[in-house]
Amino acid sequence: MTHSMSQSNLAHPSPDSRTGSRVSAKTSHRPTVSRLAAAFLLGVCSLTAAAEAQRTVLIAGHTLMPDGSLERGQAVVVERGRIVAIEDADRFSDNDAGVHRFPDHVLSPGLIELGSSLGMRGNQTGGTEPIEPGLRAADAIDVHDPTLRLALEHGITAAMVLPDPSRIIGGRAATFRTHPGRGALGPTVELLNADGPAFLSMGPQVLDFNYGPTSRAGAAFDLREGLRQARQAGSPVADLLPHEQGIIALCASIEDVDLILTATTEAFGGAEGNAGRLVLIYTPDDPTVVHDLAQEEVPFVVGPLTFSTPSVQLLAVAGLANAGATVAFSNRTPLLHPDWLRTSAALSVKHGMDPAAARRGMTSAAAEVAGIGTGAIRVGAEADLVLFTGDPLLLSSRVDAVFIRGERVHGVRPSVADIGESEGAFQGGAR
Amino acid sequence: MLRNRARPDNRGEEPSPESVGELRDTPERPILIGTRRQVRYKPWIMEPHDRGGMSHRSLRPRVALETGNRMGQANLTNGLDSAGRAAAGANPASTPRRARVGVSLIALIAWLLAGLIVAPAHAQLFGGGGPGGGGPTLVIENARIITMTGPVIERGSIVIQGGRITAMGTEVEVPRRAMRVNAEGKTITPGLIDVSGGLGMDVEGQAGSGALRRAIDGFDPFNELAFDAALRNGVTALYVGPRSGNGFAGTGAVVRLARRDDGGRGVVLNDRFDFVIDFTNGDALNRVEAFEQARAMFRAALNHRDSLDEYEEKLTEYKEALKKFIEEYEKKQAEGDKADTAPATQPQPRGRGGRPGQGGRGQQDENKGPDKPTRPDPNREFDLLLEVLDGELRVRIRAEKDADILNALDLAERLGLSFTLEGGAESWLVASQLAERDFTVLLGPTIERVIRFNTNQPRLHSGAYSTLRAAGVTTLIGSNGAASGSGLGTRFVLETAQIALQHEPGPNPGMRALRMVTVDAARYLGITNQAGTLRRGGTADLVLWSADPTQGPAAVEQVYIDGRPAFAARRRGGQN
Repeated sequence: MTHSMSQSNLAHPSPDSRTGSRVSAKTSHRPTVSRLAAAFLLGVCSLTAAAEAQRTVLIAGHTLMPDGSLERGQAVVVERGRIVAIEDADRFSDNDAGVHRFPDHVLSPGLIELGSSLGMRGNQTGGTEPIEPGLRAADAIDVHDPTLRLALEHGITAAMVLPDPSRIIGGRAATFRTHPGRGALGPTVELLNADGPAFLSMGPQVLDFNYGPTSRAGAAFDLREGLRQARQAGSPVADLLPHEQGIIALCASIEDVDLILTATTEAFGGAEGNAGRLVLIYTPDDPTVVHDLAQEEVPFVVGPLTFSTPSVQLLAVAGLANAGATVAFSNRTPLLHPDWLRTSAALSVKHGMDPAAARRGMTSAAAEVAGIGTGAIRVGAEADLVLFTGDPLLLSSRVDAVFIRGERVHGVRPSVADIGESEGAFQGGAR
Repeated sequence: MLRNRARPDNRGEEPSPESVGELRDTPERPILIGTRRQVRYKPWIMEPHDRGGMSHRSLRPRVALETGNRMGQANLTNGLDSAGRAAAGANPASTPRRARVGVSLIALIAWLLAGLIVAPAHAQLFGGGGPGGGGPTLVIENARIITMTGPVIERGSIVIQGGRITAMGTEVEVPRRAMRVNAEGKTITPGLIDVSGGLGMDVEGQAGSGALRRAIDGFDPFNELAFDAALRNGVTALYVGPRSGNGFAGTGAVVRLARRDDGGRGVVLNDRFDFVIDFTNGDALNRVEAFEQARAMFRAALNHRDSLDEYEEKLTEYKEALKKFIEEYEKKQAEGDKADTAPATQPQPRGRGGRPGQGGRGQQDENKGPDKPTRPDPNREFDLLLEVLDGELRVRIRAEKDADILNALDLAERLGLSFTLEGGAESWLVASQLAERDFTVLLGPTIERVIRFNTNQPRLHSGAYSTLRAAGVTTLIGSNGAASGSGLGTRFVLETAQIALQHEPGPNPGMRALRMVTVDAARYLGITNQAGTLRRGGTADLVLWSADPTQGPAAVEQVYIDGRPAFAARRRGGQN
């Protein structure tokens, strides 16, 4: 590798840095012929360089692996926005171009928030029908919401938003990047999964209506009726359910869990159970039932868990994970600060949850629930990465840098490898 | 006068960081509060093996009793009973003296015999009693020990006898028959401390205000659920403040979550710690009103002192005048004796309300003594406020908004007071003013509110701690328990500190967070002898963590208070 290749995306965070156009701008004072020739030559060179320059190697003190463990000595090789290899860090020397070492840091996949309201303020409510299968949460996201940036700076690179929870059958959830994409008219929402799981709600909001169901029995009837319609060809619910993306259901109590499990089994047949096509948004509050819940083999979305959450709830969450259920965290960002996502996981660990499971709950398990391809540092995944100053579960750790598809979009300049220093943490914080 | 007596910067009694390790032990004198109730230990707190942790001495007579019954020796039981009474200093007055001595003797022998039979088995089961008889000898081995006073000990052991740490280090002599706990891969720290808690105050209800109120009167020592929640998270001692009341809220207290003789929890280390003034309730106008009222009350207290001083002066004048009057009277009397004419009345010094003399009007003026000054009515509230102004009781002002903090500073300025700021959500906005006066801030949770629904909600800031530190303000972290209903935030005082330290430059923020909620907190609360550090001769309040809590996530596995298990996590599958 030549020295020019050290001009990686990392050093040039601007998402639209096109080397070719910059070079041609520099040479604009030359006579036309030579300018064209020079532009051509330089263009070819820089194209070659750009292709190879996209190769970036990130070597952190610890790397968060897909199983949730933290491992030393991993080199994450990123090319064209994807992770192309995970190799032994010793294979790379500090002098290799594109190598960036962060000996005191932890490299984590971008965190995923499952119960987000990011970009959704005032955008969710509309209509009065308890069953509105056509709604898409993706249509409601406001890319100019400033709290998206706040979430990004605190390590949340993707968020799932749900349709209005006051509807029993309320359309599709959507998952998007908190970092905007670049469209012809400015920033655009970069959807990771526009047609996510179908959303069922048995939350208390369902009964808040002056119209629609005003009792639990009424809501249960509407739910069953809606699911029954799903089996009739041509009904709008049939398009929504069943769906390869499955169902995500909001439950306020254990009775709601029971209702959802029974109703979906009734509607779609129960031979193979609900495994693989149902996710429950439910924070258990009774440690004695978590074994039974884990038997259902459905993932649970829990949280947010804060300093005022009762101990019994924290114990139940930890117990549910330890009993073998997949547990992922939600945070209601920005109603709560994005840091509460990590706090939810940390408090669960303090009450007995396996730390690896808690890390997965913010990354790979959350990605699985949202049906997206990021959320893990594995070969082939898009390189949405976060550099923490320590274990993300240790709350004194902070975010020092965020990468979207391998490009640094926030945080410290990774100057260590560039200036040839052998060790040391970076100065300055995330803000 | 007040101005001479006020010592706003009186903090001499606080030990310096260096001296903490060398502090001598002062015997602890627990103050028991509340009614004395016999409450059986709740099973979820006391593990079966905990019973071995009970006082060796107190256990022995009970075991002896059971043995006696088994052997069918009714006399033994009776004897034991009266021996117990004799030992307790009871005077069975109805028994004749000789019989009493006889019974006592038999009882003593029986007690000794029973002890002899039971002791070896007992010792084998639970280990020998410590020197103070405070529990079995316990050795926790192979742990990473974070002492907070010295360097971290890798693979070290702690020996606990009689509720105190008797040895600690990598090479300690393990006493025979000690209960040994292998803590391979685990970490031991001192119990955590909350400098601004509110746990166990649920019975207090929504409080009004009043300077004379005491937080300890509203503290429920039988709130097992709350204490279990705190212990589960490694908290063993805390400050409990009075429930929020606008203006004067009363005095706080410092409690250790040790078991009490009556079955409750919460041995009071200081039942009168910090006088709390609250500027957090209601809207901005309510808070300004509270500030004005507080100022007026302090002024009234000062006036009270002035009128007392005035009274003293007048009393002295009166005494002198009275003396003079009597002297004159006696002189007159002597002259009268010479003239052989007796006075019509006795001299009448005038008391309150100027009681008229017995004689007629004409004679009264002649015999009238000086007027006795009226003593101002005693006022306990003023006395307390004067104590506060004299610096004998530290002031803790609860304020969140910048305007209220500035008001608090104004109050301090006018009265020559020194105070600690509790809560202080917006203290980062007025950091330089706080630094000027060298006031300590007990910062509450700092995670920001992204969306503030009204301007009354304080502007929290994740970097608040760093801003205060950079300005030179001494800052500690607490749960700000008075602000929340249940005070359960105390559970996460370590996490609160960790989050506050996120933006601090420098290495090992995890260790600094731990330091803040152990040794620093103990120093602030003046309980370095009882909590906050692990050292030889110190109280054995310690937490056994599944991993090092300064380096990564860790769960509390065991908590020991006075060397006895106070909490043990059960971890089998989903059952926690």
